[in-house]
Amino acid sequence: MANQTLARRYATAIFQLAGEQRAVGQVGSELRVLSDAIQDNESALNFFLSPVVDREQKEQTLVAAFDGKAHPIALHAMLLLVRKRREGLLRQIVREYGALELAARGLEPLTITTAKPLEAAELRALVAQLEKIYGKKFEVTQRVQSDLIGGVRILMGDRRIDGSVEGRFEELARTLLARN
Amino acid sequence: MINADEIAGILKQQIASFTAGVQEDEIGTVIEVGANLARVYGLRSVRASELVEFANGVQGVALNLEEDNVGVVIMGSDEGIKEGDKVRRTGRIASVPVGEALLGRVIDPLGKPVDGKGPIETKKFRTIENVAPSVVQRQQVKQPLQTGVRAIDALIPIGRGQRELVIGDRSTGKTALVVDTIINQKGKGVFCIYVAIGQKNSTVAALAQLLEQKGAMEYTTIVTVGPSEAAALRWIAPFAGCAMGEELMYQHKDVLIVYDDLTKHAQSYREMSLLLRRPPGREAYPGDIFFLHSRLLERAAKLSDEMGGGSLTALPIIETQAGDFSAYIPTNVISITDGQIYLTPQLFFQGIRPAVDVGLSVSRVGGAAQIKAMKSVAGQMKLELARYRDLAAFAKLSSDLDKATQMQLLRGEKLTELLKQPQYQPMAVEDQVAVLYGATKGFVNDVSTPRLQEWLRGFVAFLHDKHPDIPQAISQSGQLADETKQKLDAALAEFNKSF
Repeated sequence: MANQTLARRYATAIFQLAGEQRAVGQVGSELRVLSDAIQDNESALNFFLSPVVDREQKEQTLVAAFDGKAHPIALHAMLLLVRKRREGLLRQIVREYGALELAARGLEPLTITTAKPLEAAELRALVAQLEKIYGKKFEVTQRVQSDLIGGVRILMGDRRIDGSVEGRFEELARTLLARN
Repeated sequence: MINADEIAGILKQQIASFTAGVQEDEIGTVIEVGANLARVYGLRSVRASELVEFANGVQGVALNLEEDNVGVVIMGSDEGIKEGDKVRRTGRIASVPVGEALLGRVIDPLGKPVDGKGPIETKKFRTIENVAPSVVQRQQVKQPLQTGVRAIDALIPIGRGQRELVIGDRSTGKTALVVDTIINQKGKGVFCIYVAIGQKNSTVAALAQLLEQKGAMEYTTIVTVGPSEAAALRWIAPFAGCAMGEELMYQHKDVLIVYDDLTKHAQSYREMSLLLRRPPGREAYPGDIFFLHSRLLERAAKLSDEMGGGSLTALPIIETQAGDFSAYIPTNVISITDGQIYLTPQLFFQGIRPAVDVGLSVSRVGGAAQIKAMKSVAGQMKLELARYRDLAAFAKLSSDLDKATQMQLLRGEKLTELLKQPQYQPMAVEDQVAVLYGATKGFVNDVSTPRLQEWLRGFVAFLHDKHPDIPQAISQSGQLADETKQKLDAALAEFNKSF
């Protein structure tokens, strides 16, 4: 909870700085790559998150590994996190940064879940229809989940539009239990 | 009860309308759960006090709307709710079933029956939080609510639509007093709602049984939430009960609602508020504890004739610790209500039961509702009792007293004795008037104090047996006419001769 607020503060600062230097996309993708790389590698994760490892040592390692390769903003952001002992926030910062990026481009996240993969044309038609109804532009993520059995489930921020068979079953269960 | 036909019907309906579109709702994700409280991420447009539903069907109320999460109190068990669960907005605020189908039932604050008498057949629902009737929708309290308790009806009269606090230490007879009041409403067209907040389930069961025996359950609803249930349920219980009462009030009926007790209610709200990390104030209660009780009690009203003239009389109960009336919650509720009935352990153990401290108890609006006959005898009595209290303190110190003082003390003693009343024996107002008239006119001066209760019972029986026209005249006219007075004098003299 509190972490999320913090992460948003860091993300906003990094985002604004990147915006001033016209490097929003680059900084974002580099931070994402860095975060994923650390997350995927257990020893790297341990090294990065461990409070036992000396801060200066972490800083030196980061500089040695990324100086000249990563955008200075991305690198400095990482160094600041290490110095402030906020390494654990990196993933959340990346997530918040992504949200800021989308908002800046006037896009909203949209997740479309179906039981079977949608054809490209179907997906396009669906998104176009949603864009028309809600008057918004979407950044689409597609997911396949066979539990749905059939139909489609759309997640748009906090709003869920459920047209799946599984959703109907859930609704039915609710109705039956409520009668009791 | 699950009914196979009904299920088949629902299934049929669902299958028939299966293609009829999609379901749209707003969801959030549980990020933390514990102590019957959940923090939910998302639900960005949820409104304060809105009902939300967890994945397992348990409902909650969104209480704290914070920057990036929502604090939800869970109305039920938090078992089965886990991190990552989806939470759905319902777009409604909590509501309960209402209507006359609830009479005779014991239900929980969500309106579910707990008495094993089957489902409640009502289609009407009412939100638990409602705006209190406005100034123009009200009128002055003018009809009496007879409690059947002599000490109350004579000295601290309660009117329909009044809010009268019953306050006292533990086991001083607070509940007994209100239960007597409920029993006395039989045949008077007053519906009763008893809200038990955090009372032992065994106590509530015993009460339900008692009311059943006395034939009082047929016009009474008991809303109960035990001490082992979620604090959120204890918090909404009085509001739920009030909504049930309001429904009847707006249908032009008279309703009596008892909140037993608001101390536990305040404690439950404090528990929730502290867990939600709201800043603690005095005695660690949250800042809005006064508003919590004032908005609840403000819903008690006597509606104007245009609105149908219904009424909702509230008898909140407050339990004090070692007679400390100046603690936070007691002073709050004292200032909200239209008067209070103080019960003290000293009187209780002296054998003066109900242990009403007549000197400290007041009723700010009830006097207007008292019937004229009672007013005429009670006025005299109040004066005599006040003088008696002054003298009694003084008389303890001096040994020889003049005749007049002795007389005054004697009368005070007799009056105090006559105000004693056993439990579950409410008395009709006309009988009260007749007895108290006799006492103020000196007809009991020659009866020894220990025999006074016997005299009282005997006289009431005698009156109904030999002179039934007297109580009838009082109850019909509501007045003590000169003619009735003469008859009453004669009857008293006649009875005293044989006593």
